[in-house]
Amino acid sequence: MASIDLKTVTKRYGDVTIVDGISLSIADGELVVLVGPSGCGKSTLLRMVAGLLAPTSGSIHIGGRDVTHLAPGDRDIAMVFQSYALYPHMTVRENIAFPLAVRRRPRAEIDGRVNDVADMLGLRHLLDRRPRDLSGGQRQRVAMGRAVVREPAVFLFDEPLSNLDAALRTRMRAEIAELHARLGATMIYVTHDQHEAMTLADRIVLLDKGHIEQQGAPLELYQRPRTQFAGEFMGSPSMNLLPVDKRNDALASPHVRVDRGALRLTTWEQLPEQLVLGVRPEAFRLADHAGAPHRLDVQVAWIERTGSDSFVHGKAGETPVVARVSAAEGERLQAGGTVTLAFETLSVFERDSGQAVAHC
Amino acid sequence: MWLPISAARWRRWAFLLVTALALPAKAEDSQEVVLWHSYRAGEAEALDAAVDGFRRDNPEIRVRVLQVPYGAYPQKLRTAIPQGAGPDLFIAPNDHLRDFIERELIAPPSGVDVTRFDPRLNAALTLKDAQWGYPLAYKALVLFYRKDMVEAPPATTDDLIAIARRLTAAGRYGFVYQAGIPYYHAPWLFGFGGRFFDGETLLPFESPAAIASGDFLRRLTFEEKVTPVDVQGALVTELFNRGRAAMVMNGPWFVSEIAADVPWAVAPLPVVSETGLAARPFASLDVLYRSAKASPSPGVRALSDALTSDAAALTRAKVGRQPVANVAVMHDPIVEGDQLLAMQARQLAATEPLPTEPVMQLAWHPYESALRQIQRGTKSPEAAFREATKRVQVLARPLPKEASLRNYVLAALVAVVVGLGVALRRMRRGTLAEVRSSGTAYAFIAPAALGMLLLVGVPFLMGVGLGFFEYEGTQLRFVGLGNFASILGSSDYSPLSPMSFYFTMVVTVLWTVSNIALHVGLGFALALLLQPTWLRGRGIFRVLLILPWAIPNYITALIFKGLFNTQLGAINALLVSVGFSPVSWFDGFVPAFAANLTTNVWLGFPFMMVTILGALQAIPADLYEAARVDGAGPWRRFTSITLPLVGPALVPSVVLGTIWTFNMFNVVFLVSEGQPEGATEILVTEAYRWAFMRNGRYGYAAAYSLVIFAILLLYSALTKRLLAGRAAAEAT
Repeated sequence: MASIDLKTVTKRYGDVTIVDGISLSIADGELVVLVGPSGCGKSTLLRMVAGLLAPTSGSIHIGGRDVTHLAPGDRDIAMVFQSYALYPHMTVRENIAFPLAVRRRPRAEIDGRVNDVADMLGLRHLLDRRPRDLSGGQRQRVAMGRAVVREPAVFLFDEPLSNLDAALRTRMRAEIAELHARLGATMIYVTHDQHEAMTLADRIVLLDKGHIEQQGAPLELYQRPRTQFAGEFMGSPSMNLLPVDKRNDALASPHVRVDRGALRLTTWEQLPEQLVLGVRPEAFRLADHAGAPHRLDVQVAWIERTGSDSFVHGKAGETPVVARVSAAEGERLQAGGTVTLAFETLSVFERDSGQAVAHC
Repeated sequence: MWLPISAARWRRWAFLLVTALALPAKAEDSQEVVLWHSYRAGEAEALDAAVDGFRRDNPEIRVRVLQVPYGAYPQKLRTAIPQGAGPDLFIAPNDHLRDFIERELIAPPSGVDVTRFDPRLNAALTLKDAQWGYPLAYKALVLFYRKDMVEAPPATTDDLIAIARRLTAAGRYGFVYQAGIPYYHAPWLFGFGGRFFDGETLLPFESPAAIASGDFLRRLTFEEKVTPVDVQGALVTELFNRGRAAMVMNGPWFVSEIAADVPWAVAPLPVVSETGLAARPFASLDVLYRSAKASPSPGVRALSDALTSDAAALTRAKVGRQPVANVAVMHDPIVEGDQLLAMQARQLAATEPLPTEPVMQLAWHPYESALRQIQRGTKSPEAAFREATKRVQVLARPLPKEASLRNYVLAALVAVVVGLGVALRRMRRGTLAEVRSSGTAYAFIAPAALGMLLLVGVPFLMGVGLGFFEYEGTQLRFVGLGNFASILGSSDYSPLSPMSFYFTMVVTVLWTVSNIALHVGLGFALALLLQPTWLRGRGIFRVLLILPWAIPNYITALIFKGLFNTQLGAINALLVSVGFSPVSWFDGFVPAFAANLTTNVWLGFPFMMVTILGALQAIPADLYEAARVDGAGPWRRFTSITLPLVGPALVPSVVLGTIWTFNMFNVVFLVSEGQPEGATEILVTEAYRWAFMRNGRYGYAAAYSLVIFAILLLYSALTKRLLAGRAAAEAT
């Protein structure tokens, strides 16, 4: 078990900076999810931790040991790849045993541990097959088995579920969470899927353009995004963004109005003139509900019914709006009509800088 | 479908048909003479001039002239004339004279007064009281020398050695000729009083005169080292032109190769000091023959007369610079004023006729082997010639006994019936219906299948059949399994002798295995070097490394042959420059084999490299990353990932490469030429020698090819089974 410390790690290719001086500490046993849009540098950062890439500058410490210049095999890590990277000419047993065989462990120990891991992951009956005879989920499990068998201090996952279908992804996510709980190992998990990040992480590190946009517990990121980007990236469907102007005692646009009092702000005077209200789709209610102070008139374009919920897609003026309502409420709405939505919780961002100024 | 045709049309059709049928008859009646030759350049020009003159004088006679490439010439005559498709007259050298007579390809010509020719040349063409052709021109070896290096040409062989010794220095030789070739050794044999034939039988090489001539060769090349060994014709020319050869023994064709700025002169061959006899070269003749199928018609006779006339001979002397056979022309001022022609006429007085006995065709190669060993000093003349005698006896031994065709036909019939029965039993009930239902598909492949059957199937079956026959004189004789018994029984040599089939087979296997190992090893190493994406100029390296493969392999083989030349090759020059002593590459089995191997590795590695490069690029990069994370070092990654993943892609290439190498004729035939003593021959070069260098033992050669085929068939069946076994093991 080990902690991980990244100190101003930078990776440049010529003039292009992929990772820009990231410092990050990960506690022993913590599961940290690196999330962000493609090109944000999350995979590059992970591969530097693995030792597959050398940082341009900065240092990487695992368990207090400077591993910046160590080979991947000497870092006491294991990694699960997006493509699984199973050795196609080896059986499942040989694949799982490979890290131990490379380290010349005694035959009996290898056999024992491979069997233990196979039992844990439900691979026992597949041990003599080859990867090409396995389903996607089984291959994924073999890749995890190969990582687990060595009992490394750190696990690295590089988008391990993105090649699986939705149902399998949910199941494997649960298995990874369970694995983490059982092994208590330090894990870094890279994904572009914020949903995966939310469900798995002890802590989410949101990356954008090579730097850390925000980090923290999943709910913190969700509820108190520090920037408009963080608010937009986390959550699906995305946060609604309603441009407003500062008036005397309210933030208002032709379609929405939020009174100064409701915001409980101490620094009203310093607010810029142009702002954006961020409202989560699930923050909306139909206006006939009592107790929601803010209102918004929306022209309904279509209604997406998922069974448990209904998503109302529409426009307030020119601004697109998505609201989640219950399935029963959704039944009452019709495309082409107008509906008044009410909401209470919201975030306020500066329109120019994207910085959050208030959450309530 | 028949179209309705009117009566008028019918008549027209009938007329066309009749004239078409009549045409060939008419052509035969007309005065047409067909003439074949293989002359080129000036010689062809001179012939054309003579033919044009004849056409002017005899407009009623049509002459058709066909120039046949020399390499295919004798073979073409042998097949065309018996079928009545050949020429009426043809011009060919006299070394095939007896062969032509025995195969009944020629008939004694008529219409010309032979007293116009030099009587010695007439005599060379006279056999069984008949003259079998008219001599047009002759060629004999003479001594060329550089006037800037040699003041006066040597009169005796002692003079020759003395002058040569004085002029020999590093990279320069006093006396150069193609010493290993019997044609060039003949002057010494005759000069020492030896002979090729004693009446009808081939003279053993072991006569005292033959051995003395061998001693002389050994002296020139091995003891005095004034003559380089293993030089080819082009190298002789180059050495002479560059002033690195003072004297050269060569034929009249050499003149056209001498550079314009070289001050040369020509002299008769010297007198052998030990015997006082002149060194006498062969006189090889260009002969005008009459095809046995041609009637001695007035046209044929008239053309024969015109082509051999003094006027035509003078044109040949002037335009083609040929030493001509006509006595009158030899004394023409133009000829006497020509240094070379005058010297040829003088040398003619001391020549021997080229032996035309068919058994000589068998003797040339063993004789050549013996000369090569003598010139390098690896064997004494006695031992080398004894070996040659034995070889000629083996090659000339009686053919296998005639076998009963009936028994074999019966056996073949039984085999076919049994085979068909088995095939029918194996065929499922529905097979025929299946074939019928996909009739369209079969119709589509039918043209290709027919083409394959005609171009591959029929020749293959003919080859199989030929293996059971032997060629004797002019006809095939059925010998059953006699050829196979003779090959596999290894009756002439012990299996350990380099001449035996089994030795050759072991060499072939060794040759194949070591080649493939090096091809794959080198190809793998280079592919790994070329693989990294960061390597600059990868594309250029790749193209450069594929080049050896893109160059025709016989050209590469000839280049390597030159590189490995003992005295003049670049490889020995390199060895000497770094302090090693030069290696006689073709004296021992190991260096000769190594020379062949080097050549073929050079030719073969690019193919493997390309295959492996492709296979390497198909391996996903993340496998290597996973292995690095798993703790595998570079070697472990190579053995655990690269090798097992490249392997399957490599198998077809290895199978293919094995078959190519097993039959890699060009390299062995051109580089080592089987030296020493045929030890580096492989099966396919042996088969070739039986067919084309040992009196046309086609049946024996076909049997040899069948044995090769059987070995390769067995090999591919084994590989197939091995692979199927592995695939099955993987599947379970």
